[in-house]
Amino acid sequence: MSEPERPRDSGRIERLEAIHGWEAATAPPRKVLVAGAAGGFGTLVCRKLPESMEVVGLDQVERHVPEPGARGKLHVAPFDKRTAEDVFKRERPDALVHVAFRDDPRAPSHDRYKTNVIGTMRLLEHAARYHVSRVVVVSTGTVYGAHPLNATFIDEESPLRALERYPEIRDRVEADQYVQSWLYRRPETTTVLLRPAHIVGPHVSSPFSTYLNSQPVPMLLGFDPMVDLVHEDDVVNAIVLALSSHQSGVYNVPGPGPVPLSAVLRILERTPLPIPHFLAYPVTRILRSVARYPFETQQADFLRYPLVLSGERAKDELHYTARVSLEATIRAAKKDR
Amino acid sequence: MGTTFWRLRDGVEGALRKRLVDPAVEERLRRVPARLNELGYDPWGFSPEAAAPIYTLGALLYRHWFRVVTSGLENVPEGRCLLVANHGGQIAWDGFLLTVALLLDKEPPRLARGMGERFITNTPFLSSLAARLGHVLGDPENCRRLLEHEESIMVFPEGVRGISKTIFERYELREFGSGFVRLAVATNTPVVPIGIVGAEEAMPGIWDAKPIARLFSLPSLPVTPFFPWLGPIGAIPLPTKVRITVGEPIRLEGEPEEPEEAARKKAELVRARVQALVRTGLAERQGIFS
Repeated sequence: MSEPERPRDSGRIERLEAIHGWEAATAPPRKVLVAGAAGGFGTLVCRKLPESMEVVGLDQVERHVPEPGARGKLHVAPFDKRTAEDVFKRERPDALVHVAFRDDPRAPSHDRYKTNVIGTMRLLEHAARYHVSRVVVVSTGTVYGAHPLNATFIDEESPLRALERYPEIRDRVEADQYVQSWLYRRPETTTVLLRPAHIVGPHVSSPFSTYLNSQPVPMLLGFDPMVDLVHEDDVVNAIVLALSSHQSGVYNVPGPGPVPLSAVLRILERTPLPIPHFLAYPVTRILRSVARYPFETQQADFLRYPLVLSGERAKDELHYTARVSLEATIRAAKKDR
Repeated sequence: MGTTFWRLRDGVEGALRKRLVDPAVEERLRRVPARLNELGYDPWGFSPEAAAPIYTLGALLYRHWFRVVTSGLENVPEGRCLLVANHGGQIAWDGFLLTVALLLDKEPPRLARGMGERFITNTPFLSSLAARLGHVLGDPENCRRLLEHEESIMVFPEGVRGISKTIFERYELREFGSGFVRLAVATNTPVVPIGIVGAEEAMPGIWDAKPIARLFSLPSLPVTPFFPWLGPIGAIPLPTKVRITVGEPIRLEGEPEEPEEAARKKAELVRARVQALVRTGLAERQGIFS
């Protein structure tokens, strides 16, 4: 008997199969617990989930902005406390959407660690204990890091280089990796880990959208990297698609297309302020410690090197493509104060 | 305030473009097959509009400075291909002139993508300029995707070994790396051998100042009779006559995961073809400048 033909680039394919290939939940969920429901993006997720799903919110804090259109009951409980577990016990959701991540670099690192890493671990434990059959976690594409060796189109198998350069966001990387290992360990739960590009939109405040809304906007002299923005509505759409996925997996959620940073500033009508790159890093460090400047020290890397996500897998398996146009996505980053 | 800035910039740029950009070059750039988004950029950062002034300058150098003669451009196939050429002459004039050749003299025009070294990504201005011109970081994953999009890629398998050749070693091809062989086999891409004569004498290096290059983390630092002694003027290339000879495409057969030895054998085969094309070019010319 002849040996079966070896697929091209076989190493990569074998690794993909290791993560993929389980089929646990089949029907779309009826009751969804949204962790992080009090936040801006969480509120949006609750509101935009299909009518057919019952929505229950869980967060560690009250809603900062009591939105008139808020949907579903909101339970307030720290994720690592018994009260949070009680919510799972009482409500018996069949899906968990986890968007409760803290990104504010000004927050003390132990607080961020507690929310992002411990919070994720506890939520997944509760989900396992109460037989939640689907889990969707919205991590971030920044875990790949902006790096001089980044190819255009970073796929899901790429190393998470953020660890190499930005100790400040190691909590996000650790949470992401914890969910990845959970994906292997819990084949009975359909788990989808989403890594969106920089999310922009009226409901989202992230370090990158804060950056785009500063005036003037610092750029690094002589650098104009490709950036990938994704509209909040597209990310919600990806979550909805992930909630009816037939298999576990890690998926990038790219926007409508990468563009140079300068093209973004042009559309947003922001004045760029060019700073030599060798000054940018120390200046950020000083501003951060003195003036509580809302950026990580190595954030300047995102203004220097490209980070463009590959959406091939999300397209093939989740049938996700960004629907908001490129220009509308960029415009959504504008916050008028 | 932001609006005023961009309006001002557009005004200045528009006025400069009108004077500096050759409309014929821009027209050809727009016909290059590329996947541009609604803002006019491809995913790697190539923009026909932003590239037009540089390629206008390129066209002038191509026609009037180096007086380039090309033959065999019809051998460049449509769709994906690896353009494999000899490398020398410090600054990659060979790569630049080959790109201009395919842009101006090939019908329909093609964009030959250069594979940049890592230091380009790290260098201000050079990094954004290279991206707008269509060059990308030399990464196997980048190459694979470009080829899957039916693009053409320039490869100089001599690498830095070629760039740092001195004038006394010109046109003697150094050993070829085997990366391009694996790439061609894995993506079923034809390899087009190309011999470039003239560019290796444009900046006649007499000594490669490796220790000083290391100090500035450059791959090599050539010392020519004029550079760095005459400063930036010394970096102007000599107006050598450049001949680009394109050979018939080669189909490499084999396994992408084959042992290094087998891949090297195929690389050696391609090297011999390129070397032969270089010899043809050398035989055709009367002197360095004619």
